[in-house]
Amino acid sequence: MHKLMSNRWTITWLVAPGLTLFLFMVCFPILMSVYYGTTNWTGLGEYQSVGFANYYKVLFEDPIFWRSLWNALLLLLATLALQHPVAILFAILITRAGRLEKTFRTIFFIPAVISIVVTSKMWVSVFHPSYGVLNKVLEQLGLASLKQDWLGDPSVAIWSLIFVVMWQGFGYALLLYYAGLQGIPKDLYEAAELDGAGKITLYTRVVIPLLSPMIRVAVIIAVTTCLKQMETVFLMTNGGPGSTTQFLGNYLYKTAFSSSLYGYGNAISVIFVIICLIITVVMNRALKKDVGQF
Amino acid sequence: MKRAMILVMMFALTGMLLAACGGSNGGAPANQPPQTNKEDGTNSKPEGEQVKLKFFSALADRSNGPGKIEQNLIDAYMKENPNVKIEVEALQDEPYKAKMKVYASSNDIPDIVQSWGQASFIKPLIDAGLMLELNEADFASSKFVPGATDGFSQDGKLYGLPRNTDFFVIYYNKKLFEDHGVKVPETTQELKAAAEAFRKAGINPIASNGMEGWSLPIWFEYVAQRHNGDFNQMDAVLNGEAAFSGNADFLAAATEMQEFAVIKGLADGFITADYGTSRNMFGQGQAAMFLMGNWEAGLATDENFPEEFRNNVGAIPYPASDKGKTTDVAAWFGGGYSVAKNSKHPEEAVKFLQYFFAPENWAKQLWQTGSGTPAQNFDEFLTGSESELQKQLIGIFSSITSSSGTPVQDNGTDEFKTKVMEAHQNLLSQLITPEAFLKELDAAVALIK
Repeated sequence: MHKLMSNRWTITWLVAPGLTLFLFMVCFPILMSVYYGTTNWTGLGEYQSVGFANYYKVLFEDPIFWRSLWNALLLLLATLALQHPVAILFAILITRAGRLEKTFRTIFFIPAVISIVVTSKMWVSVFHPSYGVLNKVLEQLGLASLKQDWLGDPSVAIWSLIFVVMWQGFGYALLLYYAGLQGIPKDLYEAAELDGAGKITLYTRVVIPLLSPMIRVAVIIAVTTCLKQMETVFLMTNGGPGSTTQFLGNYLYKTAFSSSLYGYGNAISVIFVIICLIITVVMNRALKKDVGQF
Repeated sequence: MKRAMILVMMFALTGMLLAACGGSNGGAPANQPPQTNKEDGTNSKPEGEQVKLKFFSALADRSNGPGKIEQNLIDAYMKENPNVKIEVEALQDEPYKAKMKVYASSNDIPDIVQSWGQASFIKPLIDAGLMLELNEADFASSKFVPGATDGFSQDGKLYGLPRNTDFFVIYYNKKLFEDHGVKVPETTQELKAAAEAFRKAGINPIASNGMEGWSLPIWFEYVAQRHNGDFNQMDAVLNGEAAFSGNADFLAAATEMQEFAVIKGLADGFITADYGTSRNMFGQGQAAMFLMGNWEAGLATDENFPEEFRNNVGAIPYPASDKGKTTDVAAWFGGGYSVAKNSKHPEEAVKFLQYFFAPENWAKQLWQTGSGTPAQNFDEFLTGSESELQKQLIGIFSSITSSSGTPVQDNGTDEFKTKVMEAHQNLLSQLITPEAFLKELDAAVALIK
C-alpha cells in the first residue's frame, strides 16, 4: 500500500481529477477574462484588440471603480468593527440564556435563512421616505427632524445599505461564534473561576482568545462577502443615487451587461481578482497565529 | 489484486469527472441565466410536416394587457394551423435584453423575437447579420402608419415590424387636483406651481421610475423642446452638428428639470423607485401625477387599484410654453417583432407575423382592450365605448403636429444609453450642476460619433 501511494503515477492520477476541474473551472476562465480584457468586445460580433488600454483606464481613469472599492472597504470596516463584536457578545449572551437559548438562536438566525431578495425589498419599504416604517416611527417618537430619504440621499444611502448588509449577515456570524463557544471545554471555565477570574476576565482572557480560530474563519468569510457584495446593492439601489452606493460586483455587472462593454467589464473583473488575491495573502499573514492545544 | 482494484476505481473516477467537465464546457454557453417560462421541453420529435417555432417575447405578463392578446393570437393561430407549434418564452424588458445577447452571441436566436426599432437594440443585430430581411409587400394589408417601419429598416431593407405607437403624457388624478384646488397644468409654469402646491399639501407630486432611469431622458426631451421650440435640435446634437454645452436653451432646460428636484416636485424616493413601485404609488392615489407612456391606458381598468382612482385618472399632454405647444409630443414607434436569419422555418415565421398583424387581430384587439395604441391604422375599430382615459389619449395622439422620434438614449450603443440615463439621475439627485450635466451628455454623444 505504501509503495502504491508513493508511486509518482499514482499521485498524478489521484491529483488529476481535482486539478483538471480547477484548471477548467477557475484558471481557464480567468485567462479568458485577461484576454477579453484586452479587447473592445461588446458581447456581439467582431472585436479588436486594444492592448492594455482597458486595464489602464480602470486603474487610472475610472473614479467609479475606486468608489466601488472604497464602498466595499467601508462595508468591511463596518462589519469588522460593529457586526462581529456584537455577534460575539450576543453569542456569549445566548449561551447563558438558559431555557431561552434555542429560541434566541433561532430568532437571530432567521434573517440569514430568508431569501436576500425578500429581505432587501422589505428594507426598501422600511426605508421609504413617505410610507416607510422607519420614518413613521421617528415621527411618532417626536424625532421628525431625523427623518431622511434613507436610500435617495447620496450622503445617507451608503450607510443604510451597509446597515442592511450587516443585518442580513448577522445571523451567520452569530452562528459561527456560537458554534465556536460550544467547542470550548467546560472545565476551562471552571478552572478559570477556581483561579479567581471574574466574569469579564474569564471572557477577555480565556474565552475570546480560545475563540480566535473561529474569529479567523469568520473574518475571512466577512472579507469575501464584503468584497463580492452584489445582490443587496442590485436590489436596493443598483448603485444609485449617482454611483454613491456602487460596489465592484454590481459595477462589473452593469458595465458588462447594461453598457455592453464586455471587454472593459472583463478588465475590471481581472483587477478585482488581483485585489482579492492581495487581500487574501495579507489576511493569511496577519492571522497566522496558533492558539495551541486545548 | 488490491492495487488493481484501486487503479480501476481511479480511472473510473477520473473518467466521470472529465465527462462532467466536458459536458459543462461543450454544452450551453457559460454564464447563461436559468431559463424561465419555458414550456415543457418535450423531446419527442413531431411527425410529418410538424413545424416548431420559438417565440421570444418581452411581454412577461401573459394574463393581462398586450401580453394576453399576444398569447391569445398565438393560441388561435396554433388552433387554425395544427401542424404549427409555437413555444413561447417571455421575460421582462431588461432580462429579455440580457438574454437576447446570450442568444445572439451563441447564434441561437429564437425564430421570432421581440425587437425595438432603435439603434441601441436592433442595429448590432442587423450588423451581425442575425436578422432576416422581410418583404414589405407581404404586410401591405396590415396598414402600418407611415414612417412606422423606419426604425426597423437599414439601408432600405426591412428587418422588423412595429407593434405599438408610443408617446409620453402626464397621467393625473383628477380627484387629488380637485380636493386640493390645484389647477390642471396647461403651461410649464403651472406644472411647477402644481408640483409645489401638492408638496405643500403633503402629497407626492409626480411619480417617476428614477431607478431604471429611462423615462428621465424622455422627460428632458420635453423640457428642452419647450425651451427651444424644436425637437430636431436634440437630433442635431446627436448627429454631431451641435453640442449640449454652451447652448442657452439646453442649460435653461437642465436647470428647470433640476428645479423639480429642488422643490421636491418628484415623489419621495423616486430615485430608488422602479416601474412597478412608481405605477403603484400613482394607482393607489399617493401621487398626483405620473409621467409615463400611453401604454398605461389600462390604469383606468386595472382592478388592482381602487375604483375611486380608476374613475378619476386622466391624461394630459405635456404642458406648453411660449415656444413649444402641447401638440409637440415625444412620440415614437416602440417594440415590434423580427425574424431570426438562422430560423429553420422562415416562411412559417413570416406567415405567423402576417396573421398576427392582420388588422382584425393585433390592431383591433390592442385598441379595443385599451392595452395600447397600435402602429397600424385602426380608425375602423373605434367603438365609441372607449374609456375616458383612452379618449384623452387618442385626442393627444391625433393632435400631434411634431414628434421627437426615438427616445434620446436609444439612439446609440448600450454604453451611450447607460451614460445618458446616469447623467439624468445625477442631475435629479443634485449631485451635479446643470452645466456638468450638459458636459456629461456631450461626453456620452462623443461615444457614438
